[in-house]
This record gives sequence, C-alpha cells and structure tokens, in this order.
Amino acid sequence: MFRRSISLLLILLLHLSCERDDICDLGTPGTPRLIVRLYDAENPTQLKSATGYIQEVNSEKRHSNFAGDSIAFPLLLSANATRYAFIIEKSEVGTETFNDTLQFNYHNRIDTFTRRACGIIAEYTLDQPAVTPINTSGWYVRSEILIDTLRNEEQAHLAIYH
Amino acid sequence: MKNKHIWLSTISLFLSVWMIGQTTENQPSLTNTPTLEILDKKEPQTFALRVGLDIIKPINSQLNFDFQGLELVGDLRLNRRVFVAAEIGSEKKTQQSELIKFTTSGSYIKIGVDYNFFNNWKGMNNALYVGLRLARSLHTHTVNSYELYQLDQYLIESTTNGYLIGEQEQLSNGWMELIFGTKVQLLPNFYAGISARLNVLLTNPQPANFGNLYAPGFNKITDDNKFGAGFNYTLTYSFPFRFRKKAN
Repeated sequence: MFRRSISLLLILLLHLSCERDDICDLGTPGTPRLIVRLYDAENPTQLKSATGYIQEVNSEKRHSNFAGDSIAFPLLLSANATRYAFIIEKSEVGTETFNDTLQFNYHNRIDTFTRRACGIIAEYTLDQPAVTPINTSGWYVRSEILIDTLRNEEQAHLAIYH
Repeated sequence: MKNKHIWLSTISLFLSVWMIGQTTENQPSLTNTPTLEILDKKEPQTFALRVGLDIIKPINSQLNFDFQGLELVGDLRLNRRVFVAAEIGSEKKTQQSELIKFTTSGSYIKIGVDYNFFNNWKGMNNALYVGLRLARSLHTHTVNSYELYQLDQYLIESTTNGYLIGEQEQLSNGWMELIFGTKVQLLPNFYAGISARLNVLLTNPQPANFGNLYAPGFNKITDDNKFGAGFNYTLTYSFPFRFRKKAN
C-alpha cells in the first residue's frame, strides 16, 4: 500500500513539473507605435488619405505600404529621434511620388516590466515640435501633437497635415 | 548509625534487583517474544552525521559557462527511520527569458526531515525515503540586456545600458519541498543519493519594476504556477557516533 502511494506521488510529481508554456497573449499591448493621422492642410478638420510607403532611413526594407488616413510605425527607442522617409504617390499623376524625410523627436522613455512571457515595454513622450522635416518635396506641411505621451495605441498621437 | 542503615538497605535493594536479573536471564524464555527487538533496545543508539555535496552543480558549472553553483548536503540520523536533513547552496545563473537576459545570484537553505521507509537488513544502511523541507532563498536579479516587447518587429534593438539594466533589489523566496529519494551505501560510510523534489512556493516577492523569474534552489518561477521541480545527485560521507553512557 505504501509502495503504491509512493508511485502515485511520483506520477503526481511528473505531472506537476510539466508547466504550462508561458505565452504572451496576442491581445497584450506591446510598446506603443507612433500613430499618425493624416489631415488636409487646406481644410484642417478633414482627414485626407494618402497612398505610398514609409521606410526608416537606415533600414534596408520598407516598413509598410499603406493607403488611408492613418499610419502606425515603431520608433528607435535607444535614440531620441527616428527618421522616416515618406514616399507618397502624387494623386494627380499616379506614377510620380513625393519623397519627404521626417524626423520624429521624443524623450523620457520609461520602461515597465509586464510579466514573464511578455517582458518589458516602454512609453515615451513626444518633443515639441514632434516633427522636424529633414527634406521635403512638398507633401508635408505641418504637424500637431494630439497626445504627447505614448502609453498605448488606442488613439492617434500625432496629426500630419499635407 | 542512621546512615549505615540507609546504605545497607540500598545495597540490598540493588543486590536483589541484580539477583532477580540473574535468575530471569538464566531461565529459558517462556513466551515467544522476538529477542531481536530486545537486543535492539539494549544497544546504545547510534547517530550518524552524513555530509557531502550535490555533484550535479559543480559539473554543470564546468560545462555551462552561464552557471556557477554549489550545494552542500547533510543529514543527522536520529534512528533508523528519522533523519534531520538540510541543504545549503549558492548559485549564479545567467539566462535568457524571452527577450530579457538576466543573472540571478544568491544562496538558499533548506531544512527538514527525511523518513526512511526501507527495511534494511541488519548492518545495512540504505535508504528509500520521503522528506519535507522548508526552504528560503536570498537572491538578486541583474538585468544584463533586453529587447522591448514590440508587436511591430520592424526596428529591433537591444537595450544594454540605462533604463532597467542593472541590479534589482534583494529578494527572499520561501517554499516547501516534498522529496522522494534514495541513498545507497557504496563503500563503508560512503553513500550516493538521488532525490526528486516537488517545490511549492510559499512567498514570492516581486522587485519594483522587474519579475522574480528565478530563485536559487527553487528553479524557474512562472507567471501562474507556484509549483517547481528539482533534483539532486549527492555523494556523502557518514560519521557515525554514539553518546557515551553516563556512569552511575
């Protein structure tokens, strides 16, 4: 009887030592990207779509193609600024593109540990001004901060007028 | 005068006891009481202090650059069933947990009892035992480098200084261990032992802005499971001793 209970204990041991894998749920928010909404420079209350792609200036591949009035992209958080090239199709011509390089400025990165499976996420604050145009070909007009501290991706942080 | 009488009476009392003893010893036993048990009771109790070390940890330290550890083990035999046992250890372990690389260093102590349920033949001292330990660690985590958790994998960069990099506050975990193990005598007074351990966390403090991901002696601490498991493989040497009988 005693032997049997010992073998039962061993089986129990084996089962309990098999732990559930730590997986970060897909719904868990990560480090927030910068969310930009595109507005019409001539009519500032109106959203204005654009079509094209963005690419971080030191990266070899483009971040994403987009078509619409909002873009979300990550920033280099080891630095205080990230430059992205905005290659935007000219709607009138179709084949020609604008090529504007914009620098996004921010500071005050704060890292927070979430849980074992997800690790560490950061929040940060946009500088005033948040956007410095490095070279423009006429697409970018001005920008405006909507939410200065990036804690989540629930709302747009920055408006770009073009 | 009075003293003399007292002395006489005590001596006669002792003598009579001695004589009764003599007579009973000379008489053949009428009942079938097992004589072995009587012999056992007459034998002075033998204690044994057994000390040694877990040999997995030093081997692991040699093979694995990211691990340094040592564990000393000991037990005190109270009788053939019950042992008071303890383990004391120290560890330094560097590991990658998802996106975080960190080093845990600290030490631990485990104290408890082992109950040997193996019935040895006379003269043998092997053990098959279950045990219980209360354990406590004292350790710190040092974050070496990490990547931020980002859903967008476009710009991956590693943080190697500032922010959460560096040593975190000191922590102390408490846990309980349920042990199943065996000890086998290889040479006179020289034992090899192996034990499997089921650990249950009792206290799990968290540092201010980091996770308590590992505790020396306990092992990996996961998010929603307070159980852990471990084992050790020990080589021990036993020092038997007896308390000298007090002279009357």
